Amino acid sequence: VTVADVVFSALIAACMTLAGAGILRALKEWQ
Amino acid sequence: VQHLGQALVLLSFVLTVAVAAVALAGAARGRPSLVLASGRGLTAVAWLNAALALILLRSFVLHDFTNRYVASYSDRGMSLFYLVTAFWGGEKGALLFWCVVLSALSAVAVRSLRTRPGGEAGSPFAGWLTAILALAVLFFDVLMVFASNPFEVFLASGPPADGTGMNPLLQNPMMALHPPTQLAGFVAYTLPFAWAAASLLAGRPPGAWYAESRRWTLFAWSLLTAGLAIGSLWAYVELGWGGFWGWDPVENAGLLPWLTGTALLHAGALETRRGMLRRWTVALVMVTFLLTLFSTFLTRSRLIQSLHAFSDSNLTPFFLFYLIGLLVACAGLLVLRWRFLVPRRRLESIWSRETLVVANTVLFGIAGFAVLWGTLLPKLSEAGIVQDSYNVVSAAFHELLGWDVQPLTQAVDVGPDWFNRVLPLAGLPLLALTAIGPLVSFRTGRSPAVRRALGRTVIVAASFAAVVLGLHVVVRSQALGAVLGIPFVNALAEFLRSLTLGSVYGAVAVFLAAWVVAAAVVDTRRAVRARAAVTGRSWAGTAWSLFRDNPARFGGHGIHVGVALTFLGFAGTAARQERKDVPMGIAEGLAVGGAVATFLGIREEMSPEGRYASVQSEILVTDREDSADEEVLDALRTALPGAVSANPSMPPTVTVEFPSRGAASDFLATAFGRTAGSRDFRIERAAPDTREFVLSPRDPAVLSVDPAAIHRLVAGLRALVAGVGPDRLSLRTTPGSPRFVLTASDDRIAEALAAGFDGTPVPYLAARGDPRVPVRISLVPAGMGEILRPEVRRYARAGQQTSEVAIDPGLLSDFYLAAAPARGMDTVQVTAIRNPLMSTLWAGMAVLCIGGLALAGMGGRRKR
Repeated sequence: VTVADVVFSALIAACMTLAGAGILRALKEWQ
Repeated sequence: VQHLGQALVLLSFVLTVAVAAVALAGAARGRPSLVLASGRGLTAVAWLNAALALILLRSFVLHDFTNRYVASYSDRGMSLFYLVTAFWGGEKGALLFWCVVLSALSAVAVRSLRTRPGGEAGSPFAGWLTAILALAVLFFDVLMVFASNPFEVFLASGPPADGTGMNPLLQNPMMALHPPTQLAGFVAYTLPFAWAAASLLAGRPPGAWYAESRRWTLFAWSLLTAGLAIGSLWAYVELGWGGFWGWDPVENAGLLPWLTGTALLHAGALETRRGMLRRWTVALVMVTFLLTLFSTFLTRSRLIQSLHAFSDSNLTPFFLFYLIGLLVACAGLLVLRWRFLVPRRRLESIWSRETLVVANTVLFGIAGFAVLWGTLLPKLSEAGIVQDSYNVVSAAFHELLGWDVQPLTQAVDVGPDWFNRVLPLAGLPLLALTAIGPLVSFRTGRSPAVRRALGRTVIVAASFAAVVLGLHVVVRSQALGAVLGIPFVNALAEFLRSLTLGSVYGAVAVFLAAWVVAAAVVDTRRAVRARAAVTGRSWAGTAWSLFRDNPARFGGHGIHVGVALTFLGFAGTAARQERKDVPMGIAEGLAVGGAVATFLGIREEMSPEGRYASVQSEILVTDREDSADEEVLDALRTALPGAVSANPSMPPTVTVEFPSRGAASDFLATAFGRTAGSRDFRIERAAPDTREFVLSPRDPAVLSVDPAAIHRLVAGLRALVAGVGPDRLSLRTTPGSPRFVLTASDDRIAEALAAGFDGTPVPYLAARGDPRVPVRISLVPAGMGEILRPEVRRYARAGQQTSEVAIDPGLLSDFYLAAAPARGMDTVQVTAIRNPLMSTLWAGMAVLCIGGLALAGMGGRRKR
């Protein structure tokens, strides 16, 4: 496991979390 | 990880469908909660796509060759910079790039509605906007899911150990930046389009959309301009044909949205200020948006063969249906809302800025049509049905009117000359409008002040043009007279006879460019004076406050100056007459436009990482009048004690005479090692008793990459033998072996040859014997001019070849050199061009991009 791998994995995870948060907020907005 | 990518592509696709559906439902039923939810959803899509981009980027950086795309566009030897740029090196990555940028910009745009005063978040307009943007993203999602998935993996076989690598033509910093800027420019035009379409659908006040989306229009325009400028710069330094724009179909396709986009900026200004040209503005934003897709379609399909023709693509039917669908939708929307888009005012006078803006739009339209026509004509005229119908019609004309028309039997290719002849007919009037427009006022322009301003600027511009063009004619004629050895008057007549239509265009462009600058200065001065008189502040402070209050007007002036500079560059290109393509031997000179290019020899080496073999032609560039001075001659005389005399001959060479033929050939043998010889060879073995030298190439790795190199090396040795004399030196080669045996017939020549390789520095760069006068030798002295090294690279992988031109840039003109070694000869094929005013061309384009971005950043709107 290299530094680049860790950095990329963290960034990808962050983006996916933000996307998930976006979906949750969208659902909340809907109600 | 690639499976995660595939899953996320699907998820992104599904989510985008959902966002579009929810937004449509919310817009149609007027339900704010649905619209707001879809806006959040769009943000989620943007983040998902960002994750996708990161996954692809990670695969490139970490050499994950399980991904087919990564394996076909990168390899282990590539630097980080090119690994990152390989992202958009191929179709799949470009699609993902489009998707990522579009969804990010869309999310920002929709979010901006929440903070914008007027509370339109949740309105039907916001719903339509979200829906249109989501649908635009969806198209690229569809392409990725169904046709061109960037996360495809190798199924049957395992991943390769190393990738195929990137096309070397693209391994250039400029080419790394051209695609993303150009694509981002295309993508950004989706926003003004979506804004316009959503406003029409939601029935908002006509015209509001333009003022609100003006930033995006400017942003898109600046990126597109930058994309075109960087592409031109790349073509100039990388392709080696001496120009920057070749009217290649895909170049033209990139120019089309730029032309309509520029017309949009002007029509939109009138829409904002006067509420006129409403339908034009809407039509222009639609056309521009469609053209960005059309351009991508042309690039990606193999409809037209071109420089940009990419490998097989299965996207053509998708693009075709999408384009047709959009065209129908846009036309329908425009027809449905035709009556709604009533202009607020009517034209009050023909002599007004309004008329000029209309003329501007029409001219941009004509230019766009000309480009489209020239681009598609070869393809259209290839089709049998087109040829047949043309022939039927022309036969009918022949019957009725007796016109003789050639039947059409093959494809018609118009070629770059056609574009260069036709487009100035729209471009120069446009440049004239650029000058006149800012001076003429809205509503009515028939006022004494306007007339005075026009008159004054014309006089300034005309005098400037007269002086510049007069000087140009005199200097050129004088140079021509000097070369041909004829009196000035005859040379002048000769020069004037050589003028072409391009020269006329160029002269007009110089005048108009000067007029544009004069107009911008006069209008700014007028405004600064008026305000400074009221506020009593300094001129600089007033100018800044004016610019801040009305960036559209004064920033526009700045951009117009950029246009003027760019046109000056075009005029320079039209005035370019000095171009030479000739084979050159060592120490031979070539006079081009006041300079002399002297070939010194070839240097062959592998690149530092061993990626390519480089053949550099060393060429000394000196001034035509600049011959060797006493200091240089003294240095030569000291270094050559055996010489009888050393005198300057044709600059920059010096002719050295030796007392005997033997002394001259001894010198040539020594000079070989001290100049080109020691760059190419090293002495592997020297046998004093048999007077045999075994030479081998200095960088043998070159031979494995570029097999032709061995012929060049042998040719260089043959030339040495011919110069020294076959009676004194002989060459033996073994086919297929990189070892060359030189045998000297006496000790003196053997010693001279060996002495050449002792590494003593010498005050000359190249030497050439004179076959007619064997005691005479031409030397190129060191310490003069500048050495340029145009290069040809041959890549180890795939054997592709690229040329890197060498340019000596100057304010007034560039000296441009491209050189390729001739096969199996000791000569190189040199292309030398004096390219006038390239500096203003690039400066003008830079002003356009930077000015446009600055205006986009400031909002580009008048502060109320």
